[in-house]
Amino acid sequence: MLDGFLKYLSSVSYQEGEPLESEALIVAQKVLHNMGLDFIPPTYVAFLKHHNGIKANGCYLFGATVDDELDIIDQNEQLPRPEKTILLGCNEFDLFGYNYEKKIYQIIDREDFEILESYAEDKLEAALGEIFQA
Amino acid sequence: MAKKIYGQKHKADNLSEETKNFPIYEALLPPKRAKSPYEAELMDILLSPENFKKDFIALSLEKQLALIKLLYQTSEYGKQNSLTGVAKDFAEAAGYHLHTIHQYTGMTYDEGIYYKIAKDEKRLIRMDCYGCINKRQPHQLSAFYKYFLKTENRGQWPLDAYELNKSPMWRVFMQFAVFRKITPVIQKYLHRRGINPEALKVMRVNDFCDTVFNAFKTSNDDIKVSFVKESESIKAKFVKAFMQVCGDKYQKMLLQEGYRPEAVYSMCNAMKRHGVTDPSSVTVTSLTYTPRIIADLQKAGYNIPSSLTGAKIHRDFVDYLLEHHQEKLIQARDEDGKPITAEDLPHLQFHHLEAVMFAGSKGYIASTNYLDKGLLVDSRIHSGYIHLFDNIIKQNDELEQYYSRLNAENKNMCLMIGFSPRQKLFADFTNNLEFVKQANEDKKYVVKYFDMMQEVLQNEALIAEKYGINYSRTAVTQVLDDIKKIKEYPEVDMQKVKTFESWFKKTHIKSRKEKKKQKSTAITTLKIKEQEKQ
Repeated sequence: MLDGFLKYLSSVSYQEGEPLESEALIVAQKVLHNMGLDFIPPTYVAFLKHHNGIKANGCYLFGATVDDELDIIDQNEQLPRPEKTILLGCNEFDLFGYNYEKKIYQIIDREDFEILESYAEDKLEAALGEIFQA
Repeated sequence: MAKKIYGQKHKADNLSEETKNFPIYEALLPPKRAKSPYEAELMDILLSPENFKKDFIALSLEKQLALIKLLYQTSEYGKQNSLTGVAKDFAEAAGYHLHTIHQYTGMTYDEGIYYKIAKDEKRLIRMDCYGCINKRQPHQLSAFYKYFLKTENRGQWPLDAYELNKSPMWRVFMQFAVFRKITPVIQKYLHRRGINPEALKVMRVNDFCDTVFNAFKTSNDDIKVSFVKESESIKAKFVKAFMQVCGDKYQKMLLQEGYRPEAVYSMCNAMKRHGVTDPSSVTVTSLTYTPRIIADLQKAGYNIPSSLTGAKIHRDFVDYLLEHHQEKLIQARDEDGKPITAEDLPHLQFHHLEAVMFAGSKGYIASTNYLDKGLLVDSRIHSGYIHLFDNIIKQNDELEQYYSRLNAENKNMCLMIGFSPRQKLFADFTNNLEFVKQANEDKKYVVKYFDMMQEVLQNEALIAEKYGINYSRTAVTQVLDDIKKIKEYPEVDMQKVKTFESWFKKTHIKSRKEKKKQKSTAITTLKIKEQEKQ
């Protein structure tokens, strides 16, 4: 389901977080929940098992990692975000979030929070392609 | 090891014992705040704020950002709740401290009314900036485009039948130089695929995105394609132009900040040559010959004598090796032999000094990505400071909105890697000849998105009739949504839109009476069929 995006990643330079540890994932899920957010969606967790957070050329995909800039908890605390949304990444223009009420991935304009694109849970690859402009 | 560190980092409560035992903190700060590991230290500053500015300057960037977040949350909490006594004073003081920080940083609030630009225009601004496009999903394509894509509706038409400059939505694309440049490629692609040229009249932005994607894809597995060379995207061009004007100053700044010289030189060289901002994409090369480097070069066939150990590697030779992708031969290594990386250097992001959303109110959309509108900023400051203060006061579906946003007082600010004056650079790009030429050319192609959208809607009606294409329920909803948006546009010819709307509704939306009649006919037919069967 993510083959195209993983293949694309192999053609660009990037930095990534340490491999995902199950304990780190549990910590992230618990803290996000305590922050009043929902859990990280399973399809995104599947991606984190390949790459636990990535940064490249101004694009960020967050993970359960000690790197502050990629840490899903730090970024959800730090970045302004729309209601009912867990932030999973960003680029220079947009935020990449998961709306846990509607159960969809969204590309959100970071200036005015306008929803630019919505993708069903099984269309994570398309959403990643949209946000990752590296 | 990582799991332990991650667990420790996010312990339920990161506050020190001292802080926990000081209940006044909880009375002063918003209850639902993001708790920072530096909270105790930051509260010390806030509880004795006589030297606030000096204390702020002395903090590391991480702590400065944590302090800003704390002040922002406290100030906002104060505005939204009727606080009294010390808590009220503290919240008000937080606002003053933020003002002090903005003043020190050279930032100010931009406020006013703006007209929203369409999502399609936002998409184009992003594509123009990055020079790439991602695969469209079927649900993003219009029913008309899908009709013309079907094999049975394709055919052979002459190349000159594909007049892209007459297509309403391609004219929206053509406002950007980059899309004007690829117009012949798109024309040839549509011709080769045998798409009916009438499709150009009704294709929407996402439909053209699909066409551009397919015209430039190299394999069926592609999820993203570049339609310009990576080093020629607007972002890359901005970085190169920045380095041309401020490269030496930036290099000096990084060295003064204490970064490793090898990493600084390699990063700056990559920025100059390729317009990249990502330290992870850079191979850090050594400044001098080491025995290992000499051995590697000799192995690769270069005649470098061992006597050169310790001597400087000539810049031209470094560039030659970079050109031939042999930079690994001179990769810089630390005392343990591990390659040195540039990862500690600032990760720069491209920030628009003039918000993208203002493109409709100030100038034209192609100007959004111009050199004079760009600011290269440390990604942490971009997210944790500049965008923290973005505020849309009237957030509804109307086009006219009130905004408030943090902006540089000096519009020539082009780099910011910290809050101090020595961590910023300024340059005036408006005198750049290429820039002036580009702006003059772009102005010839300016169109109004909603005018073009009106044309598309009217063309759709004609094409639907000509080819017997039925508007699906989704297509009807899309048209009604488009009409609604067009009506909100300030300069629209309202009479023309209303006439079209009324015709469209009459033609494509069945009245209740009609629906009832249709349902009753269907039931009668079904009953007759059942009786016949019996």
